Amino acid sequence: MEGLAEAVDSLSSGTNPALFNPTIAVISALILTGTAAFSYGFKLSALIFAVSVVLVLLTRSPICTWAKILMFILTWATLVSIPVPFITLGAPLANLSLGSIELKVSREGLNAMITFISRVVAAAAIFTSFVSIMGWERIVRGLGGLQMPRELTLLLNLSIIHIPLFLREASMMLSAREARIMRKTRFKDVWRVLATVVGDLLLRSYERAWRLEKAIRSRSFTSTGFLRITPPAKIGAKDLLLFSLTLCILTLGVLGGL
Amino acid sequence: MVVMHIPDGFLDVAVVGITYILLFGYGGYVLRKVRLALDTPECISLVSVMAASIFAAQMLNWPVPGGTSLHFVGGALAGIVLGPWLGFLTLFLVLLVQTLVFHDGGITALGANVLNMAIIDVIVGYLIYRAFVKIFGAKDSVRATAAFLGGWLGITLAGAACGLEIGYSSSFPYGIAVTVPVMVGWHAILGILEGVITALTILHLTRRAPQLIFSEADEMISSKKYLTFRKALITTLILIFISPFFGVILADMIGYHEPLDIAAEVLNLPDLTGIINWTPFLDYTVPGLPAEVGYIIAGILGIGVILGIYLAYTRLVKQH
Repeated sequence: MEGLAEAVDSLSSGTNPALFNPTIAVISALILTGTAAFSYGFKLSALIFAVSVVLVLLTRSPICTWAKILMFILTWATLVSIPVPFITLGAPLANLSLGSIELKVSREGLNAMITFISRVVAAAAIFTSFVSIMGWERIVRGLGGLQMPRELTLLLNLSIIHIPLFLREASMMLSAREARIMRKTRFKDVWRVLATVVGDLLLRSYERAWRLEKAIRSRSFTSTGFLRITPPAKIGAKDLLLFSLTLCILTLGVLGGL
Repeated sequence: MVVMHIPDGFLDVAVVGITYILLFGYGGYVLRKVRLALDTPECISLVSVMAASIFAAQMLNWPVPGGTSLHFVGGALAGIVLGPWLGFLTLFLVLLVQTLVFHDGGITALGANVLNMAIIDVIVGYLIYRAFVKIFGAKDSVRATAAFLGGWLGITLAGAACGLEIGYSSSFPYGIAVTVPVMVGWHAILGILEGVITALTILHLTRRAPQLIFSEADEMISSKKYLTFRKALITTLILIFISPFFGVILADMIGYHEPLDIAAEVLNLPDLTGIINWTPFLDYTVPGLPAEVGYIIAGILGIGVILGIYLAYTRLVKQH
């Protein structure tokens, strides 16, 4: 939980937040993620994955964090698609015998599996590369530029700010309560403690919400009118390059039937 | 329960389009309902901070036998504590943060994830809890049972919806014949744990601050109307639970067939069930579950639909 809280804090600003206009970056991220997610060919997914790798390397974003997310997605997609080569009908590529069971690996099944995994991983790679470059603050700002309701962007900002606070609080509450179980712990005891932590987190959230409301009102703000209107960020050459690249990849995908 | 977050690449354009339309439609309806309240510091602070606390609560590891652990979703809990509208907004925020910041759940799958966890799970949890407490009173045993059932059924139905979404998607390697039984079966088991967690948390909250539970906001009216309704509901539930004895066990023993089926066989008419069937609940069964259990679930769903239509009709009549 502590590590997660630190991860949220570190993701707030990103490695190179001012590199792109936030709205252009969000539009590009959404288009590229969608193109990867809906692609049926390996080449397009591989191209989008390569773009994400180049972005991460050029901007010197922390590769380990980015790679960890991708490894998790890769493992999950592989586990889900393992049966596909065996159950898809087609030209047999290999035979596997497990005792009395004969399993046939088909070429079409293997292609389907690889395409599925590449699609899932490429979509995750491109979006997470944008998040690690921009940081969530700029991503939320970009969403605001897409005319997302003001109330939602404010709610999003306030939620993300409070997440590390609650993660740390939950961690401390859990440690304190587990330390008070003065006997051999059973599942029942641990579950009871966890339920009280969840309940008290909700109660603490009412208390924090009350304090936040007082803080907002004490500054004479009574509605979302207090939202700071940030001037729109300038669109530079890098933004045009990024958007052009995005449109090229999208066009390639559409022309190639995705 | 973390299997419920559908990643990018699992859903095709059609399913993404439908789920996003549902998200915008329902989200727009909820925003219109709470817009005035949402413009106040109280509401803004409550929803945003509550979303953060539910996010943190979701990160807790609940150990299970076998050396593994699970995380709970909290949709039913949010529905019970905050009500259906603020519960939806809170879970929606949680899912948005998880998608945007941690990529736990895909951007293209956000509509589906919100439909499953922020709409279905929240509404089912809220309705079941409210119905139970209204009919049987606000006692600890009733609260625990209602919260357990709300948590269990919310997750199971959300899992069924997830199974349908990925099963009908051409991007996913398996069809609904595989995805629905797997998702329903798996979440029906995990839902027991979600139900237990929801019940324990609600009991803890009602002992510390019962006034904060939205679903108990109205005074409990124990009038003749509710006593009669309670008797009818109990009778109906008993009938549903004993129905498989007649509809499945006895029917198999005597070799019962529907008269129209026998007529079709005699006339040598082709069986078009496989071609024209659109529902996963063919013949009152749930794919992957024993016939008797499917019979009971089909009965509960049918009664639920009829009750829902009745309640919607009575509400409309009252408004006019």
